[in-house]
Amino acid sequence: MNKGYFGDYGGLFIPETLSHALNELEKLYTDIKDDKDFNSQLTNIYKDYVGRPSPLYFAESLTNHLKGPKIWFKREDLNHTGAHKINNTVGQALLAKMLGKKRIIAETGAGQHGVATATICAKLGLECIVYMGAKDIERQELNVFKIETLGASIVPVHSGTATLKDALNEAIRDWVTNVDSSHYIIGSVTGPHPYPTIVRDFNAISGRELKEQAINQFKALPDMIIACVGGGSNAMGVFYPFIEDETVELIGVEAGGKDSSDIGGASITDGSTGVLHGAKTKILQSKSGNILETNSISAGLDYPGVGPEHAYLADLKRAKYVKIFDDEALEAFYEISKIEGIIPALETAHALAYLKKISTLDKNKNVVVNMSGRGDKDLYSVMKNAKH
Amino acid sequence: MQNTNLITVKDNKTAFIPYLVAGHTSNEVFSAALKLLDELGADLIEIGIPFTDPIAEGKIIESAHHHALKHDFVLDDICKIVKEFRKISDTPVIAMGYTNSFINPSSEHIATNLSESGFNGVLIVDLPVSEKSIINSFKDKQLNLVQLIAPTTQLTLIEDFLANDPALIYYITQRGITGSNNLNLEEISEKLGAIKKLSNKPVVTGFGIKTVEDVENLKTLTDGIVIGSPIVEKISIDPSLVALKEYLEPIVEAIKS
Repeated sequence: MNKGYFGDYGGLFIPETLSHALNELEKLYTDIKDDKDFNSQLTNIYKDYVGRPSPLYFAESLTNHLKGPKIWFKREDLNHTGAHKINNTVGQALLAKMLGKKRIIAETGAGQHGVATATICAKLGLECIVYMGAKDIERQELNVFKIETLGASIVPVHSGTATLKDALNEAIRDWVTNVDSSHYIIGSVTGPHPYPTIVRDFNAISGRELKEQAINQFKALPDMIIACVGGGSNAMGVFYPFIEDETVELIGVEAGGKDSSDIGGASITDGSTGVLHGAKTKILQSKSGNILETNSISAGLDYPGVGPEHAYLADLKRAKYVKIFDDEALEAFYEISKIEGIIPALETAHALAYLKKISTLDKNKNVVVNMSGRGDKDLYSVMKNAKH
Repeated sequence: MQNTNLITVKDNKTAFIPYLVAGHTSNEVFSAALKLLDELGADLIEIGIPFTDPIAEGKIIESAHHHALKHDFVLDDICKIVKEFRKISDTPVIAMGYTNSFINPSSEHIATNLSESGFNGVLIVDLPVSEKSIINSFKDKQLNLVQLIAPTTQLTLIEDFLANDPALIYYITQRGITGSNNLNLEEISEKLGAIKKLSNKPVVTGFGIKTVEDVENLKTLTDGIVIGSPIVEKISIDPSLVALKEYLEPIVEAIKS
């Protein structure tokens, strides 16, 4: 396999100005990923600051309600800052410090990655600049305010579709310009090598914990793991330690948009192979290779590409990718809130909505939904929609 | 017939290499601009293939890409325009852009189209030298390669960059996107000198070169000067191209004198 490739996907499709920085990052990461000191620092932050391990929770009321398999939630929503995103940002911020870089750049869609980056930068005394699409700034007001409260600067991006994709473009442009002083903390398992690997590894803490918790709590591996997929970092993190366990069914849930006639954001289900933001992967594109404007109720899934390793797992048929429409996700958002007392993020609500499609599974099976984030950030936009 | 050089380096002359965006502001304006640049003395013309997500471009060129796409840019139309241009001029023309525009529907298909319409080479900004199969599709169609080298490039790796036998090395003058303002002459001079020692290929420079003064400072250091954002800006503001001509005349004179 070529360097930085997962099957046919991945690689390093970037302007030459960045290749030295990416090589340095790869070298450092290879050197320290098994280093005792680094890992003990990381473990301490995970434990005392992030609040790990996150619980594996038996959703008894929901299980009784759906009358299907046993449903468990891996509670990444209980992490500090309310989502899985912080697993990656704390790891990468430590890497940045080791690289001697004091200025951090990040892009954000739903705002969770922006918050998680601003948070660890505040703690470690790093300057933090967050690029965010103007459209997302509007629908994620609360996270915008959080990011600013944490001392980071937000740069609104008005070009193109004014969403996550364009925020990523601007973040890369900043990095090309300030490459010597800055580290780019990409927020998903996307981008050029070595990012898809690094972001996966830092997120895999959730999958490793789940494996242990499953054995302790129900004496078996899960029969199925369901996670939402935009760029795909929460899914990759929870899937990764189980790839070798072939009895565990892995389901990635993509955003379908309004209905089957809508473009949505399901890059694996509906897309084709192309190059976007540094990697060859499945993308939503026109015949001439231009990137299409996606649409989803959830800002975090509103992205026309996906991590290259997901594209690979789809080709291998090791993971299955499905899509859920806006209305189905909203229904799950309300239902889980009322039945379990847990308000999920709209991204996570896509994964939860898939539970309705598997209610015929055997009652003894154990299905785990990766509860990637909590819904506080979405309340305002859901409330606004409800009034219309 | 493959040119070993896209530009000919002789008598210490510096080449003038303008960049414009295909289909910007319309196919008619683009076609007229192509001819004007040739008449003004272009030695090589870079045609930017519009892409939705051009991550190395500053605002001016990005807006032109988006404008062209909004107005139904089609590569086949551009190929026709270049084919017509070939009837009146031998000035080499290269297609510059991003990988995804060069692999859809396939790199072989794009290479055939470009080659048959009279393009002489390609410069794919985000294509690494290791992507041999894509690179070979263009080489197989006798399209010359232009290799980018950045201020951050480790010259110990220059062998890798020369492995695909590029016709031209394009040195990016600064850390940044097109149209920035960070020319550091000392670093440029040092890097260009180092590249010249390691390779006998012509080395041209671009990114952030705008004024007669910039040109005067750079022209003895380099085999060619690429001017992009100011040209695209002038075309955006004045599609009659009068402003473009007025801007370029003193620049070209400075490059060639």
